[in-house]
Amino acid sequence: MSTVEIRGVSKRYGSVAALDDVSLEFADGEFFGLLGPSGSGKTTLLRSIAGFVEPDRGSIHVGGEEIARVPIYRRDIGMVFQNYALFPHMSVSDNIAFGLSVRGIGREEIRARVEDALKLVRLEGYGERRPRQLSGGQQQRVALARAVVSRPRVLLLDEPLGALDKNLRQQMQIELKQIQRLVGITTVLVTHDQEEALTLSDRIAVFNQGRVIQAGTPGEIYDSPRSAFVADFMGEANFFIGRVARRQGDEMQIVLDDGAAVMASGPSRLAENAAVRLVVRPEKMSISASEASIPPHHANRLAATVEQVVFMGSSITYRLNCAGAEVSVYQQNQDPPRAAEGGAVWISWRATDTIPVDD
Amino acid sequence: MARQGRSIFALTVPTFLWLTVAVVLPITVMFYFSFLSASPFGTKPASLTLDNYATFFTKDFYSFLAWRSIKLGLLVAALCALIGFPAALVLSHRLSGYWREALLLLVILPFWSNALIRIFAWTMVLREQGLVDQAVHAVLPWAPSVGILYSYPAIVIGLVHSFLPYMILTCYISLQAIDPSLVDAARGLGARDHTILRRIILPLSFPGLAVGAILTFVPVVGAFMEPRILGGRQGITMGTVIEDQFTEVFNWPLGAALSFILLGIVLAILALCYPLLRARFRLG
Repeated sequence: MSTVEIRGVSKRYGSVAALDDVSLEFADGEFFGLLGPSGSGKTTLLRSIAGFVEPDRGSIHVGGEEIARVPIYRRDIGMVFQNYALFPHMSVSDNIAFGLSVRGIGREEIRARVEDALKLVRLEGYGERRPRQLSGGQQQRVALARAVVSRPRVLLLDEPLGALDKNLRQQMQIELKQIQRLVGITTVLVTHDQEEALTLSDRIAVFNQGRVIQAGTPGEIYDSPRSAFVADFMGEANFFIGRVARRQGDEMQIVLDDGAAVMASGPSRLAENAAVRLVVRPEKMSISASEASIPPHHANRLAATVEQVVFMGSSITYRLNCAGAEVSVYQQNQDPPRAAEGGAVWISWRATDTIPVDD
Repeated sequence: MARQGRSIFALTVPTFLWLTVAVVLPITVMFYFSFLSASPFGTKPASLTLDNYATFFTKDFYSFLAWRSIKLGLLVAALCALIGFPAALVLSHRLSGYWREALLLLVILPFWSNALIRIFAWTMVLREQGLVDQAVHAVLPWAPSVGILYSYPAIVIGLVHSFLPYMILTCYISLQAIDPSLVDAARGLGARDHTILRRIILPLSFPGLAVGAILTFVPVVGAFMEPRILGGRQGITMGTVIEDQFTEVFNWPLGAALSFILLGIVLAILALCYPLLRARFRLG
C-alpha cells in the first residue's frame, strides 16, 4: 500500500510518442482510472509502472522509492492482465500460490493465504480446478486473487473486464470495487470504457496521444470537461459553436452561429468576442411541446424538430434537428412521451449546464 | 446428412487409397516375407517358418545391436533436445522480424540438401587432414590428430546434425504457442528467468520436446546411412545389419524379421511413455 508518483515520464517508439511528459500522483489506497482510446498511452504507463516498459525520461516513485532501476521481480506489484494470463498447466490454487512460492514463503503459510484469497474472491472449493474449467468471470477472479495474495504495494489492472459480457461486467465492477476497498491497495485501472472508469475510479486521468488531457474525479471529468475531446469521450455530448457576446462575472451570453443566444454560468477564462465551443449533455436537456411549458429555471431554449425517437427501456433518446445541427436528448421513462417523430418542439436547459470547452 | 457423408467419403478415399497402396501393402508383403525360409525371388523353394524371428533371440549379436541402436537413439534425441531447445527458445522469445526469419531459414536449409551429400560433407570435416584437423593444427601445429571419422562420436555428430531441425521446429512451434503475457505475469509475480523457464516455459512446451524426441529417436534407431558412412567399423547398428540383409546378403526374410522386431521394440517404448505423454498433452 503506497502512493505512486509519476513525474515527467516519456516513452517514444520510433517517431511515435507513446507517453509525452506524463505526471500523475495516485494517493495511498486510491482507485485511479487511466482512460483513453487505444494507442493513447494509458497501457504504456501501466506497463512502465509494472516494469515491462522502460521509460526514456522521467521517474516513477512507489511509496517514495524510485523504481526505474528496480528489476520487475522485486517491484512488488500485482497485475491483472487483459486475458488474465492464468498458467494453464497449474491448478487455481497453484496459480494463486505462484507469487508466494517464488518468494520462498513456507508451505503452511502459502496454503493459508491461498485459502484466504479464494475466500476473498468467493471461489472457495475451486482450488483444484484448472483455469480452463472455469467461466470467464471466475478466471477473472482467480487473476485478481493471484495479483493481491502477495499483498503488493500497487495493483495494476489492464482492461480487466474487457473480455466479459455486459451483465457480468457490471456485476464484476461492483465486486472489484468491493474487493479493492477491502484490501485497500492503491489500484491503477486501464480501460477504454468510460462507464467502467466512472463506476470504479476515485479519480480518472483521460489520455490522448500520449498525454494526460484532464485528470479529476469522475464527477469533474464528466460534468466539467475542459476540452471537446474529453466531453466527447466521456459519453454523449451536444456541441454548439458561437462567440461570447457579453460577460458579467460568471454569467456569459453566447451568440451561436445561427443567431440564437445561449446563456452559460460558471467560471471561465473566455473574454468577450472570443470564439467558443459549448457542450451540453443530452440528459441535462428537456423537451417541451410548447414554449409555455418549458421549465421556468431553464434559461436556454431552442426550437427543434424531432427526427427520431429511440426507446431504450429505462430512457428514451430523441434525435433532433436544431438549426441544422444534430442534438440528442435523453428523457427518463417515467413521463409519457413528449414528442413524436417529425414534431416541432422546444429543447431547454439551465445556464449552469452549458459547458464552454477548448477545441 | 447423406450428402455430407458422401463428400467426406469423396475427400478421404484418395488419401486412404494412397496409404493402402504406398504403406499398408508393402508392409504387409514384408510381414509375409519375414516368415519365409528363403528369399522370395530366389531359386530355393520357400516355406513358412518362425526361424527368422528365433534368430534374433538365439544370437546375442542381434540383441546387443538392438540395445546399441536404442542407446544411440536415446543419446541423439537427448543431444538434439539439449541443443535444439535453447535454439528454439532464442528463435521464439528473443528474436523477431528479419533475424528470426533468417535463422529459421538456416535451420530448415539442410532439409533442402541431399542427405547423402550432407553426410559425405561431414567426412571432409571430420577425417584426418580434414577441416577440423587442419584448423586445429594451424593454431597448434604440435597437437595430435583430432580426426574422428570412423568412430562412434562421428556417427552421433552426423545423426544430431540430420535430426536437429525436427527438434528445433517442434520446440519452436510449441514455444511460439505460449502466450507472452504468461511470461510477463510470472515475472510480475516475482519469478526470475530460471524460475520462469522451469515452471512456465518448460512445462508448457513439453509437447514440442516430446514430439521432437520421438521424431528423432524413431528414425535414429533404424538409421543406416550415417553409421555406415561416418562410422566405418564402428558403424554396425541394427539399421546397417538390416540393410545388409536386403542389399548384400540377399536374405530378405531375416531383414524383414529384424525390421519388425525393431518396429516392435520402438512401439513398446512409445507405449511405455504413453501415459506420461497423455497426462502432459492434456493440459494443451
